[in-house]
Amino acid sequence: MPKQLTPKMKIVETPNVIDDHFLDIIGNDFQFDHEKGLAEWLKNSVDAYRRIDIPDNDQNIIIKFIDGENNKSVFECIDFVGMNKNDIESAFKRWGDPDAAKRGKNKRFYGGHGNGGKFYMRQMFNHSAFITYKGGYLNIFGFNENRKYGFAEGFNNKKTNSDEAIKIAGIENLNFPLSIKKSILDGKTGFTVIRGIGPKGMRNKIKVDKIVEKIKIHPQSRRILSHANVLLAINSNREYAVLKPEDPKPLSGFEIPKIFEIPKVLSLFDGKEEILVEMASKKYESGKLILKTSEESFGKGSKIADLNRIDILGEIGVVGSYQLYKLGVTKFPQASFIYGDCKCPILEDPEMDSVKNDRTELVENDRSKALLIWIRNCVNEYADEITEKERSDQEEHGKKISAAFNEYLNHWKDQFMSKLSGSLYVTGDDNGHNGDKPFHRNVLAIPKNGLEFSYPVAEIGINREEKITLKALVPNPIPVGGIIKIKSTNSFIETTKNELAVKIDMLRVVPSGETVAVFNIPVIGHRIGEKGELLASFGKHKSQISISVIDISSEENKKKSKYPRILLSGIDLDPLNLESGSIILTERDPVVYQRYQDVSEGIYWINTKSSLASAIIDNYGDHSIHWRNFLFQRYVDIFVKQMIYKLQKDDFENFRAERVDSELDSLITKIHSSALNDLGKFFFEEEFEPMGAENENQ
Amino acid sequence: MGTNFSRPEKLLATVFEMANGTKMDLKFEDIVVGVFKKFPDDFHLRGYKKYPDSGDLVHKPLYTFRKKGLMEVNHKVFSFTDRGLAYAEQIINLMAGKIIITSDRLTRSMQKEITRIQGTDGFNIFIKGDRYKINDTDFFNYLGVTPRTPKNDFMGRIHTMQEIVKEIKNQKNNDALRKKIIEYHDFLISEKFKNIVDHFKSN
Repeated sequence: MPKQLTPKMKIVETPNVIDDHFLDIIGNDFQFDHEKGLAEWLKNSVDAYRRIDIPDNDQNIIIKFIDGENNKSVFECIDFVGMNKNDIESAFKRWGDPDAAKRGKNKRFYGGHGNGGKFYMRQMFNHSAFITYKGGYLNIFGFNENRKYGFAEGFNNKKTNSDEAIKIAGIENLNFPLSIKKSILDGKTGFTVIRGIGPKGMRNKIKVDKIVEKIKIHPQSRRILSHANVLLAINSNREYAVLKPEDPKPLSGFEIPKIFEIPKVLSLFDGKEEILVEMASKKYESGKLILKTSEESFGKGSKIADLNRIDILGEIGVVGSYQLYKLGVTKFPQASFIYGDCKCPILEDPEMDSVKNDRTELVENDRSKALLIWIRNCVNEYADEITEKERSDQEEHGKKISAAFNEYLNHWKDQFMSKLSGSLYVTGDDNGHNGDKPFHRNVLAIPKNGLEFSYPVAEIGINREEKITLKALVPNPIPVGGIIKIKSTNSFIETTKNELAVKIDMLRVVPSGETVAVFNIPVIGHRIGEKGELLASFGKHKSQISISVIDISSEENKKKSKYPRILLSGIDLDPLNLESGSIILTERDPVVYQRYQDVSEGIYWINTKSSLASAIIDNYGDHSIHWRNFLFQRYVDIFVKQMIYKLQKDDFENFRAERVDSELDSLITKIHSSALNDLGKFFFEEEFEPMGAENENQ
Repeated sequence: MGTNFSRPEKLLATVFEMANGTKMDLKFEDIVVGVFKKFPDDFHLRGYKKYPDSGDLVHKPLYTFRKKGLMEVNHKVFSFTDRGLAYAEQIINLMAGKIIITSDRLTRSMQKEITRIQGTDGFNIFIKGDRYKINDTDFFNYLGVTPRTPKNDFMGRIHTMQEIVKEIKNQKNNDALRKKIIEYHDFLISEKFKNIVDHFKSN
């Protein structure tokens, strides 16, 4: 048996002697931001209320900022509880006491060791003090410029009447509720004013907006602000603002917070084996994670970037807080729209207490590790939902772009077809039940009574210039140079030409040899449903046409078009069954598709799910020139189909491959020439927007 | 020649001869004149033995041939289908006194149709059991028409396909693939696309 080297002895315990420099060493680690320090003050005030069982909504706290000169700006935090000398001696003066906030009470408090607020006073101000009044005694205790603390001379438990105490504390002009003031004056309650003078970084002019913005989102103050009545006072302004955290406006489509129930058991892989960790017990019910979204990203540059975190809630207040990137969340940038909190009561189980005293992060143990991994996965999952929504929104947006391009091409197609002689555009089949007839230009006829509109009635589209044709017999009764007056009976049907002069270049000779002047009068309808007469007169010679303004984009009017109507599958509504939405085609359906019922209506569908269409959209997007080219080529396909059927119908005896070939050459040349003239930007400009171009084209 | 034959049969035989047994296009007027020259007693204008009838005597059977899938018509220009050629050839042979020996073998035109059907995407999907993938385009391809096909031509094709299926059913030694054609036909015509058939029937 080894020989005992030291004799058996009993150590006589003696209190530690700690040099004040040790406080500097610890204090330097605090590196306070003011919002963090103010949060500590707020926590202390709330704890003071909680110790005397004042409910949240009766906890009144005032944060006051006073600009100053010569490094004497002031921060104050005022509550209406107060401390006595014993509180100061037993709690405030002691450093590092884990039960400092409890003061013997068996309940949870925000404060832990009570170090945060003290260190903030010590480290971040030239000098600081709290003036506290309770039970008729006033105490002023603080730190001087040398960071030494102690009572202010003459204010160590000074018997003072309440009126005097208010004046000494410098809050006689404070605009606080009369009921509180009366309670103080009656001695029913006290007050504490924590005052810091010469705050670091803003010793004269206080950056109030910046501090307030940060206090509102700081994990340690956010919940306090949402429950207690915290008022903001600035300088001598007697109007106080209520400090409440504002939840960011949620992301569209994610307005309702997403709730994840924490499983009763989580598994944790420690590198060697899987460990099952209890997350609930008989004593501690299972918790939940609530994820919310913000319309504004919490990314870099955001004023509320700090909110991109999960706060872990304890029985009272936040017991830990993690920025999402710190949790290992990977689904950015979508995750930068997410924040939330997680309540998990078992974290405060004393058998595996996961709450650190500074409440910044959890104690690292199996439970906290398992929980944080689970939270990370939930956030990633939610971010995936945002990604999916974005994809779906993008698809929807893409559909709108495609629809706009298609509408643009439809408009061009109508113009192009109207220019072509020998209309290709017989809609329908050959069964004799096909709504529309081919367009045939009428032979120019002599105007009755010397002056006549080509038609007695006309429908014009809204907000687009339409041409109304008027004919005049020249030279008798209307000579060259004669002025024809034009008038509309409805101000919503407007013509830009009120007078028409007969000129030589307008004259046409009709088959019977007479000369007729032809005018195309520009007319614009400004409101759907308006009806009126357009009157033309030359002396006693008069003519009129009835005009109605219609919505040419309406389904009903589109059906009336004499040209085929080209729609996009999966995007445009089925005009023959509006309630069913669009028609859904697959890769197996033809690229240009018609159902039997489409034939008589002149409807064609471009299959947006055909293999090439899908590949173009996937690789280049709906706005790309590739996609526009694809759509245009489908129009060409349709022109060709129309041409082939027309040729077969009109000249069956000569319907041979050579003839089709020759007609194709001619048609394609015309299409390309017209498309280049009318649609140049559509093909060549990346940033082309159909609406603008459409107006330009018109 | 052909005294025991009906007017439509005589008409069909004449058109066959005029087209030299091909699918050549023939104008209605030429057919009227041709059949009158060949069978003046049958095709003259009523009361005028020296003049051809261009009315129902010729017109009606020609359009019946179309509905039965024997002929195609476009703007009064007529041509045989494969099935029409085969049928007309049989009549010509009968008229010439040849004995027609019925054979188990399908006609050339039917063989051609069967080969065509077996090559379609729709049929190949069908035999793999993916019936739900069959779409209306497969149906139109099966018939060899499009949604724009005129009603009578459409019905003519239905008739033709029904005849082929009937003939396959009559065959003794059908292989599995041919039996599948019968199923495919019933699936398309009587089941999945009955609405389209009804549409063309009713219009």
